[in-house]
Amino acid sequence: MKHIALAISWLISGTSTVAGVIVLMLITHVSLDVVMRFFFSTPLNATILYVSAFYMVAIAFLPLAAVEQRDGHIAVELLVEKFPTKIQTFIAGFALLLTIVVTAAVAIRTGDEALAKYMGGSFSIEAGGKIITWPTYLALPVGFGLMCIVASWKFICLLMGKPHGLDALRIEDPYLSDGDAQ
Amino acid sequence: MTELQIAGLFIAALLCLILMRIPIGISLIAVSFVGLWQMFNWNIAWGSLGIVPYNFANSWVLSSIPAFLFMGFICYHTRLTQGLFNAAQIWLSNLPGGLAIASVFGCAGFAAVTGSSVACSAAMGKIAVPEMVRNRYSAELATGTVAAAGTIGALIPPSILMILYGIISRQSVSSLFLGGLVIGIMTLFAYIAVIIIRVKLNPELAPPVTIEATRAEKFKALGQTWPVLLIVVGVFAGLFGGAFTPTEAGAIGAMLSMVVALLYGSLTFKALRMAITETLTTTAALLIIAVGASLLTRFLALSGIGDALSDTILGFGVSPLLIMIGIVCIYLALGMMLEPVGAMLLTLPIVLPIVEETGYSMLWFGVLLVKLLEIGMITPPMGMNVFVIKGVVGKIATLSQVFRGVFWFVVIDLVIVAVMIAFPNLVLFLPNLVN
Repeated sequence: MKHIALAISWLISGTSTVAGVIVLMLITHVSLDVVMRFFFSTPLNATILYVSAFYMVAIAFLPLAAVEQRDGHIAVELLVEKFPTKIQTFIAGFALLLTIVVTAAVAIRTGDEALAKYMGGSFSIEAGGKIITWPTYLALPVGFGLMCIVASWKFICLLMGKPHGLDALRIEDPYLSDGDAQ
Repeated sequence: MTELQIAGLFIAALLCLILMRIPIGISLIAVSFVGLWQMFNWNIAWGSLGIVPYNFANSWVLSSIPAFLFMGFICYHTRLTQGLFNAAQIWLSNLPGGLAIASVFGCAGFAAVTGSSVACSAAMGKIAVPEMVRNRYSAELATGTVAAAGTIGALIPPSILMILYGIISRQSVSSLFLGGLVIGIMTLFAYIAVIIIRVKLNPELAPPVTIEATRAEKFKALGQTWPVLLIVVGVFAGLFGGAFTPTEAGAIGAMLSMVVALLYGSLTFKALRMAITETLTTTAALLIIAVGASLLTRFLALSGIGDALSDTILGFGVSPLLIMIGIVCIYLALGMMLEPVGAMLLTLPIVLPIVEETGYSMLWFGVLLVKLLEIGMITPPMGMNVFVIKGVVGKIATLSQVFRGVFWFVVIDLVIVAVMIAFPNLVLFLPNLVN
């Protein structure tokens, strides 16, 4: 059990690290484009394509599993909190099951799309020449697929009554975590 | 079944799933997919699932969200904004409720570098509330002020809610920011008026505090606000001057924040890692809902359900003003139960066509909507800002005390909403002037 949880945690950390580097690339690329445009009148080629298709798509979908791992997806807690624990557990199981079905469906469908784009050698013609764009489609099946794996693991652990043990990427808020304020 | 009955069925199914704590994004995707499948066929539903998520995320304007989030999180984790409250309290402590007023100014300053009201409340609550309580301010006033003032964070640009609204309603994000700036500043002064009036009527709420400071010390405190001033001037001069797009403003702001934090000596690896991680998880959590809302929009548009719904509401023959008041009431109620992004993305596919038909400006409505959703951040039972303040201050105040503390701020917020509806030009004059 521990090894599986560890492997999933590593997968999440890996994709989050890639997405984190892409955030820094987005900031640097756009800043550099602005500087080049204002001071040298030579903006970087295809900035909009790189930012929209390469960076933004990856930043939007690669961290989905990290959000699922932290139970960070936005949901309404109001009503369920009032229910007895058994019903809460049943509803949590149903929520995970629906998440598994939906994310698996999106992962399979976007995977098909990514494969079709790869087979067709999808590209875009920009000022600097031809830019291959099919790799940008991979972020969706990877992001949704990993989210499906995390939800499946949490569902299995819920059925077995064990903690899921996915504890990488724990964030401590400096304003909320100080012991003196609690 | 008529289109309206089908609409009712799917909306009821969506609400059931959401109330069962199913993540909003997953609920939206599931209901829209089943809707497209049932109303048309498997191929259209399956095809939409492959196209919509990529096409929605592949957006230049949308990329301003991680950029602005990163800028805000860097400022937050490297504590660049700490000098704001210090300067405000030295300059304003002589006023009735001076420390509370200083915390409102501190929140407004923080708002200029972050798009999140929760971050505003958390940061200022940690600094300002203990200082106010130490000076024998009432815990209700101290906590209520900071919880309410945090809502200015989503009004004064940058605002994540406004970027999302701008993308979905096809409005200029810069114009929305300008409209939000006016209402943000109006809210700032309205909150200050509430504090002064309450303290004048009941001086025990905030005993006078005298901070002895020479002119040199006052200006030194003002000098400590340079990190925020530099970032704000750099970002907004470019954005509103027409030199930057929102994405460029966000990226330049993020880069400036990192450089300033480096010069300030507070840019640690831990702070950078936390800022990146929170940027990623916040962006992904927002985007999956936005993708779901985009699928719902497709379902409502293709099936004609959206038109049927707006035709039915407009068919009652009531005046646009009455419809708008109805929309305001619905959002105030939704804000009590839902998180702002969820409430906005869940309802916009249905509400936007109605607003468009009534003839109200979509730009004006965007700013009004953000104001309404932010009121929801401080109203019970789900007042996120109130919960955050309670978490920050610990035993200084109970949850009920914080909710009581925000009461008069909610009242003035409702007055501001009424003024916005009565005088739409209040929101529109600055965007019109700049454009």
